[in-house]
Amino acid sequence: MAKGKDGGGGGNSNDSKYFTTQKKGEMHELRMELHATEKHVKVDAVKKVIASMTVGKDVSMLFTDVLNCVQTGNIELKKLVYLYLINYAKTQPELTLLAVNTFVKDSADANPLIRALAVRTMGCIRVDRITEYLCEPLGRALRDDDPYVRKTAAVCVAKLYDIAPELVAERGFLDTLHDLISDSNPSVVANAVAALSEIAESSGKDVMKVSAAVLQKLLAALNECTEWGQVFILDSLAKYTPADGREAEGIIERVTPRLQHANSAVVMSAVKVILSYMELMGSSNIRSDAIRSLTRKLAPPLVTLLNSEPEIQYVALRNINLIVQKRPHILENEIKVFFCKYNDPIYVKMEKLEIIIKLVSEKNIDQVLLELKEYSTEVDVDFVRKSVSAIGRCAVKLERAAERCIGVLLELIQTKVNYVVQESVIVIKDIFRRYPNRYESIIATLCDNLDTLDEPLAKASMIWIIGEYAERIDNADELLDTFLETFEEEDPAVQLQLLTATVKCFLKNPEDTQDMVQRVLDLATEESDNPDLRDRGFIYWRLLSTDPEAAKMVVLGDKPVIEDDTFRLDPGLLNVLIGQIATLSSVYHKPPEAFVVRRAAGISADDDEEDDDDENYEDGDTGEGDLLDMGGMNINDSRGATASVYETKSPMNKVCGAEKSNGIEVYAGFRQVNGTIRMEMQMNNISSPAEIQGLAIQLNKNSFGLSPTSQQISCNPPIAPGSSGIATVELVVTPNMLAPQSANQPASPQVQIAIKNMQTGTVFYFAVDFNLEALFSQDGTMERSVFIESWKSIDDRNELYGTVSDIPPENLDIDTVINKFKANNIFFIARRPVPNAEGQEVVYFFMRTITQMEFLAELTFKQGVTACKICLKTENSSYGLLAKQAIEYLLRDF
Amino acid sequence: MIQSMFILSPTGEVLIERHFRGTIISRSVCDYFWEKASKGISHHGAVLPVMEVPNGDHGTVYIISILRDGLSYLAVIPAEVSPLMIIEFLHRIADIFVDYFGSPADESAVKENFSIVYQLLEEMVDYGWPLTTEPNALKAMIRPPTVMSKISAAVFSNTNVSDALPTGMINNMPWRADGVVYTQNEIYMDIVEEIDAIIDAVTGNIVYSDVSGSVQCQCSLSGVPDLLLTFKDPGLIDDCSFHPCVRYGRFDRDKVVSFVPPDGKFELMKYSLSPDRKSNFSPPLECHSQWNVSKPEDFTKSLSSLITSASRNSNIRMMVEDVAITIPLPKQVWTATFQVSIGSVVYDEAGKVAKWTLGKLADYPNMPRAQLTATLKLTPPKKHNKHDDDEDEDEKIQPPNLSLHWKIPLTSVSGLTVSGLSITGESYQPYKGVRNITKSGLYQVRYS
Repeated sequence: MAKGKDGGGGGNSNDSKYFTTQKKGEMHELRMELHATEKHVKVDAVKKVIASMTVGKDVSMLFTDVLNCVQTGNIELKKLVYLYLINYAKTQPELTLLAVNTFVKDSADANPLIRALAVRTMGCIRVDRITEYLCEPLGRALRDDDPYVRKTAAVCVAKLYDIAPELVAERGFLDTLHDLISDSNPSVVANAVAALSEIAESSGKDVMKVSAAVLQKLLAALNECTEWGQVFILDSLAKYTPADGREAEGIIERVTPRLQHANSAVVMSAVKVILSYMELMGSSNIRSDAIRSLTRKLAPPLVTLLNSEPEIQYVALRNINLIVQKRPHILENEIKVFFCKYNDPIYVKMEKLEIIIKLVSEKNIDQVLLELKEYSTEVDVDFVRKSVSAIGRCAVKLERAAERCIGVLLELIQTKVNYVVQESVIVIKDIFRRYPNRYESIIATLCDNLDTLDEPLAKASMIWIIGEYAERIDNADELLDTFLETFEEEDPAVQLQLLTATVKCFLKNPEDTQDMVQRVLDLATEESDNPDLRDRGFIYWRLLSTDPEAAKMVVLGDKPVIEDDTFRLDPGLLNVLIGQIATLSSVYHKPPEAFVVRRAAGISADDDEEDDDDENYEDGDTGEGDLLDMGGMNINDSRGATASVYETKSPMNKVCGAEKSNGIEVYAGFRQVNGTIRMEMQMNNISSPAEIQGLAIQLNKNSFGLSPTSQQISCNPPIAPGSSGIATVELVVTPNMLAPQSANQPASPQVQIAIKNMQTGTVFYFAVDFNLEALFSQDGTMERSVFIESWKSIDDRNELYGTVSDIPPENLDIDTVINKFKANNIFFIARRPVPNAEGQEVVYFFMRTITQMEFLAELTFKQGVTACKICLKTENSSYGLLAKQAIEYLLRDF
Repeated sequence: MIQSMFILSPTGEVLIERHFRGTIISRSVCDYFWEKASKGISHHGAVLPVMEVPNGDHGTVYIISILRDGLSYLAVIPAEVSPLMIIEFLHRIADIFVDYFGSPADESAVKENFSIVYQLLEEMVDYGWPLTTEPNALKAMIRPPTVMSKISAAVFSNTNVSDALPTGMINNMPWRADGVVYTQNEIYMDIVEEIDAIIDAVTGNIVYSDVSGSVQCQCSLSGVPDLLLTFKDPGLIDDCSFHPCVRYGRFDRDKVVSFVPPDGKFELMKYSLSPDRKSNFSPPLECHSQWNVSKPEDFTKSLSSLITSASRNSNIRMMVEDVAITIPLPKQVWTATFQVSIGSVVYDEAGKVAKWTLGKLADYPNMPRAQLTATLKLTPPKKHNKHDDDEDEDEKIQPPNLSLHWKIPLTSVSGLTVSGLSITGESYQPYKGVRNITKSGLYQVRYS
């Protein structure tokens, strides 16, 4: 019966039949078909099973039946079954073991396609016990005669590393991968590079070390491997630091032909290598010629990218945005290619506008203004607004063209299109601030359009203009008066501006506006709930009542001139991002750490031991109950006795290469000594012409509010060329150095630092990651009962979980950990064995930073396991990750 | 690299779902994406190609997406990656689908061939990395669906998977299969040049223009032929990008294109022209529009008409083919009727866009101008701003910006011509055909 039906099914000419809905009895029918003797019935049945799987139906009950079909010489059937296995291996690990024999057998098949398929599939089945069987065939596959099998095996090493890193190390697969870099087949080389780079990134270990010998092989393979392989190779070249300018130039020469590749990813990665190496080429005359000719070569490929699919254009434009900030010359004559085409997607148009503003100059301003005016008549409101605002930014940027820009804005105001008028008013305010007392003649035109303004920002801008130029507007007081009628309904920004404008108006013309100013001050101080408004109201009131002259100086004082913000990325960050071209961080213009952090968080959450994590979660819950029952707790007596043995250490990292700082290499780290936070720097004078004696230091605003107590650093004794020395900077926490934090983002650990070498006058920038343990306060103890209360009161959403593996054996002794933590101001609260789980113990710790942020931590140790689970709770959720990393670091380090 | 891949139908339904790295990404990321995308569509712009998406409790992931033939191809990325590589790769997948299932590779094509889609993804991606992306190598492993293969599968239960490893995959020319034999050896090359331009409607001046060219090949040659293409004036080429088969070194040194071609259809190279050559062309068409706004007392009955006319530029001595003009009408238009002297008009009521297809504009003197007359009824203006009434009525309607499409066969705007195509490595003499085509890219006549 079933056979007849399927004959009909097979005759159907397309696959959409598999998407027809399944009835209950069909599972049984499918099972029958899977056991059928005819091959095509089986193939059809497996196809149906997979179709159900893809539409989200649970077909796991057919596992054994599908598995049965794997013993076949038919490749299509085999592939389909493998596909099914990969999907369900996780839920049915026991059953997958049954297929192991088939895998092992297939990995020795005469057909290379089947050999490769078997190795590939085994790598995808993430079941621990499978991996044991995988090693043998994988080892063979890595040395297979067939390059197709070898290149598949190379990828498989990366898969295995993800599941069981220790197995990879044990079997020496990393060395084999290194050997594959010298393989005769370029695709194998490319995959080996890809696998090594991936392992390097996920493990944080430098397994993809590019040496001079490897470099030559990579450059050779670059010419012959597939386009994807070229991207991998170029990306690892970008991480290599050439020994000198000549080597850099040599590599650039080999990479330049890649700029002609049809694949945009290859082009962009090549641009990255060239731009990064250009930095190292030095600045002698011959070199600057070379740099100039390189600059010329870079422009056409970048322009060509703008003829690609819109998605590619978007990423290219985000990168070009960085490139024109770093090297404006490259594209200075190409502004026309950034003009928007009418059917560009909106995201491409928006990015093009950004580039246009960056490239606008007195030479091309007329053309640009024509374009921007054209854009201002398009349909998309956001785009129109940005175009109008761009006209204003051109005016702010180019003094000589300001008048022409204003002319265009006035024309646009005449169109009376509501949002165009509002946006124009907003940018005209900026132009007034940039060029005070120059273009007031247009105020009259603006005043004609008061009625159209209904957006807070536009209103606030207009009111600011009225207040600032009250003496030139005949009826300024009347105009303000009309706004005052609706004072209470206005947006806070408008209210603040109204208050200030009225006071300005009063100071300039006290006779007529006495009543009005009184009314505004009343409204602001008595009627309003807004503290900002009230405060400003009171300040004005006191100033006006005590010393009107002082009030004039304050309210009517000169304002700082606003700057053209076109090139606004911080130079340090820009340099970092140039090295990151063609990555996500270059698209988001955020430092690469932002992505690493997220990934770390992601991995700890989708760890293999997800089930264990869940247990841990429950542990945490029961832990709360147990903590209340103090009876079960041991109090550790031995602490204190050995505490002083442990010194804090600052983890020194290389933060600045000699090439960036005119010959000084800097390693830096943070630690706390006797309650003061110190940044310790080791300076290696590689090739700085003079001895390093005095340095000046400045910190950018950072997530911790750190700033140096003194800007001067003296090196005693001076560091002669070729030698090295240590410099220490004491830091304090000041609130005004605190960078603004966004609530749900993890705080950046980065502290950006500028140092000026007083001898040579060179200024160089670098960034150091702050380690939070240096901020932990010495008085961070807490009563146990308070701890329990806090633990319970913190919302579960502010919890962080993770597992630290590879802990050195010394740090597995809980007493040692407690003492070591104490030296780092992480205080022990309580410990207790986990009920019903032999050999497991939970320890609770508490830490408080100098800035009064509190962190509560629960560490679970298990005897004989070199790992530890961490659960961290805090109300300062953006810093939680950093606190967790501090604990992880201390656990790993010895 | 790519953790998971989804293909969404034009209505946001998940058609294909594939996880490459053990971890299964919840479909909720697609919901998030779709919410943004559907908003984007109503906001006449597509969704951002790179998007940060919350992934349940597991932090953030990134979705890199492309839109092709109505389908959204989504790659879910957990960590740092080269986004261009992902975008190129997604486009490559879509290209392969077109190659296998024909154009357009849309929802029904994917549904009808879903098992081939899965097999293709299996071959193209390994552990989230691009694996085999050369169409020839793929076709050697997975046969494209044809009427014959479907019938034979039904009758003889053959499968469309070949069990031999394609030889091309492992040699240094992954793009060329071994053992290709044709009875008739031929190669055709089209040098296609597209002109992007913005023309000022009033003066007829060229505001902006750009020429981009490409060489499209159709190659049916036996064995492993080594070809050498030379241009008469290679100095015209400013920048170019090549198919992987081209030897860059040779081009860099000698300005000749030396390559072993893939089998079948492929794009050999793309190029752009040196800046001094770009604006050196005269527009092949002259095009004008004119509004006649009649303004009766009662605004509801106001009728306007738009007259658009086009003619071949008298300086161009060539036949202009496939001429079409797209006329976006202003939003105020309520109803529209059209009269044309040549060709036909299709009017999209919802988008208020008229497409006038003129076809050939032949080369004989005194040909009358082609003319389109649109009679339009406008929606009455909203009755607000009473005191502004007179200004509102004066609100001028600008003639719409026209997009032109056209093609001129056998011409090259750049003057780039092939001086020779020689073959070595094989003994036969193939038939060689080379022709030039110039056509419109984004070509707009603008009023402002």
